[in-house]
Amino acid sequence: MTNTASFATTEDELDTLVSIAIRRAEILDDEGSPAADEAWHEVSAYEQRLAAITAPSEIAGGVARVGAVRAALAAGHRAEAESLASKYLAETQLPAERRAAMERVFQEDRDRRARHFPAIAKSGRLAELAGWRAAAAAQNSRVFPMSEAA
Amino acid sequence: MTMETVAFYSYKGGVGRTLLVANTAQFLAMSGRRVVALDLDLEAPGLHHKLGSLDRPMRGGAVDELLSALEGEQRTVSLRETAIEISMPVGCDGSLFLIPAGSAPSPAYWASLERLNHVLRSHRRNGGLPEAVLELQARIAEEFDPQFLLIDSRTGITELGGLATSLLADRVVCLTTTSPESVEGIRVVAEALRAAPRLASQKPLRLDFLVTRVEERSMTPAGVLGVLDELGGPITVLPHDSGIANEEQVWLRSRPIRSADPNDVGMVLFAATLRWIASSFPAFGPLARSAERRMRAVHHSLQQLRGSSLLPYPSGWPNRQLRERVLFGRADNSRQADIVAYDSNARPLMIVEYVGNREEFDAAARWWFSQTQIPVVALLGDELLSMLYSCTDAQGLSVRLSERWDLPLPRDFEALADPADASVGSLLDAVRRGYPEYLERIVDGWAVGVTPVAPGIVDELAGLDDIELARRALRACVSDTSDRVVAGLFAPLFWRLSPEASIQVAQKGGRSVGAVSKTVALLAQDTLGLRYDTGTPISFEISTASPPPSPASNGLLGDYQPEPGRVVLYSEAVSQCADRLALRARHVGSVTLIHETLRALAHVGLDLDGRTWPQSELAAADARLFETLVQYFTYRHLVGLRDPNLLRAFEAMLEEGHPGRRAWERIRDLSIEDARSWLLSLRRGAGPTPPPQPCDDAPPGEG
Repeated sequence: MTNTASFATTEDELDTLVSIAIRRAEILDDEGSPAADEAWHEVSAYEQRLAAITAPSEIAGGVARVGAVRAALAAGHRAEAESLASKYLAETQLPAERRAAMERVFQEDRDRRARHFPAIAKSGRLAELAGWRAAAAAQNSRVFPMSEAA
Repeated sequence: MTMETVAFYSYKGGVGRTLLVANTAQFLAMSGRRVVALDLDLEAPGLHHKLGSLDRPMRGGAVDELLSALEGEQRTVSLRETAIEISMPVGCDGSLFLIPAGSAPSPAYWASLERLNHVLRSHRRNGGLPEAVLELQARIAEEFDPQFLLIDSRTGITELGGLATSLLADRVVCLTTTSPESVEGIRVVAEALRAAPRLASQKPLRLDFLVTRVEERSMTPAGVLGVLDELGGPITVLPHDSGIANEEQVWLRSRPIRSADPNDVGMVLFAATLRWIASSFPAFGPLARSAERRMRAVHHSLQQLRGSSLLPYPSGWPNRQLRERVLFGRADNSRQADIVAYDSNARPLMIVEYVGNREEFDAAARWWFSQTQIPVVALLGDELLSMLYSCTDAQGLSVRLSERWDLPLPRDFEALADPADASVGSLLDAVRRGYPEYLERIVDGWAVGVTPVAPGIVDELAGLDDIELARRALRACVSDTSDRVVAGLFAPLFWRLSPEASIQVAQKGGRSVGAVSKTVALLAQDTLGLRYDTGTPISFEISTASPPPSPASNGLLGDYQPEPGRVVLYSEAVSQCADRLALRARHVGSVTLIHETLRALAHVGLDLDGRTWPQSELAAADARLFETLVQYFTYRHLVGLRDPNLLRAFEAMLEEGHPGRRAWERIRDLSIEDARSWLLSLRRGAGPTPPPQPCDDAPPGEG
């Protein structure tokens, strides 16, 4: 996250920064840059901050929550996305359409990965991987490094 | 069908991991299973080297498959097109496919590997390496339906190594040497693997431990085993094998024999590997044990072919004329030879194949002869059984089983009419055709108990007329002066071969002295019941001088001279006698030699009281009785020798002499114990009761 983001505190400021970050991440994505994942992770961070200062019942708050999860998935941080989704879905004021949107985000992610990995999607192991990742992330001691953050 | 995934991991390199993957994969496939070997040692791939697929074009591999999965590209080729099928021996129902890392080492491969690393850093959205490796594993299961997937995993601490061992594997085989850093690395990784999460559908991970490259089992530091023991799981020790370490061989590969080191075939490590497979994969225990027997049989044969064991002949097959595991025949009708021996023009001369089941030998031999033009086929069975076949017709349909037990050496193909026939007659035929060294083969073979039809060997050798060959045969016997060889071979040949040869050997000194002494002692003991004291030895001599005159005969053929204790054979007189009687001089000479030696032994032999019998004490009348007894003992010894030529000569020689000389015939049926008793009575100066009919006059040794 940039220093600018650290100091931004208002909804408008964060909204602006999110827009810029999203544009940047999209450009890096288009270029196939290795920095794209990190850019999306930054988007997720802005969205989380926006979510923190907005109510889930508000339009901006709902959008930010879904955006935080979507950006985390785009960054490849699936465990973090799962964690955020659990937290936001626990908020009773989150409107149904936002809950559905969040489900769609995960479904799109599953569909995308299923297209990439049809064999494990068919066998059910793709679905098992989420639990495996969560367990691996929960381990204090890990000998083997993983390129993705859990 | 459930697929078991076995990952082979080592913290450090150089432990023999890839070789073990290759050998295990081959064994399981040869045992009828469908096997896929996957090389995930992406930075230093080498499984294709071990499995002998270097000369096969590689169309992609694991790197390309992972890459396309991560990038979401539509795969246009199946894994079967990427995989390399490793050919199995004919009749093997199993299959082995290798999915290499890629076309390493090549610039294109390194570019693909770099691209994979780039994608892993930048394209996590679609899924990471866990999805990609699981996808590859699932596709392997779909396309090959294998029973075993064996993974050669990367050493050290890497993401791919971790996924291969903790996410893909049902079992991890952890290899380590005894070096502290290797053991410590394995300990840490094994503890991590024990704690690693599993997919919901997976069983707990099984860990096996192998301590490799151990010079001797007893030298495995107890600390190493202690560390591994604490980790749980079975521990196996694999010995170091310099041959395999240097040449990186696996079972199935056809290869020339390069090293002069007789241990290069690597039986030690291979056998230990098979024992590990038998214990680690219990369902394959019987097959692994059978494979070990096969390996031992082939190894034993190879050593024999190279002349490095059993028989000390320097003329074994040179390495350049031997090759292991060679396929013959067409694709739909082929067979693999375990060893092929070639002539200097690369023409196959001999096939060696382990068949194991004795009942299948004949059929196997017929296949070889009908499909190839190879002169000799050796089929091996368990317990180091080997059977040699040669072909008796052009179509190869009529095969002959040889009684030869050992494998022919290059010289055999030159000297023997049928190299598979190592009977005494065949070897003697080679001797007569100018290969006298086969005399040593005959004698050595008999001495170590391997020459077939042993009872006939003495008769065959005794037929040698050539004095030089006869002398060589006796000299060959002298190389082993054990009681068994002397009694069974040297002694009968000493009496039956040309006396010129026997006496030359007796005069030679050295090791001959012991063999001749034992031979004379046997004659004294077995025939006269007396003991021969080598302190008063009998010497032998051939004299061309005229024998001293004898009043009652045509002349002496031989004589015993008490001083200096010498048996003399008069060669001229022997020749003349033989001419007169139309006999062979060597037969007349042998009878005379035996007769005179017995006469000598009757005097110098020791009785139970340790007494001899000075010649001067013999009265004239008793001399006739004594001669009759000596003739009887000569006859008994000749009967024991079972030499019809000598018996015929004996009869003819006595027939020609004075009628009184046939007095012995009247005691022909006397028991040898009675004859010995009479001899002792004579020696003590007391006449036996009733005395045998003495011959009238003949002094001993007259023809």
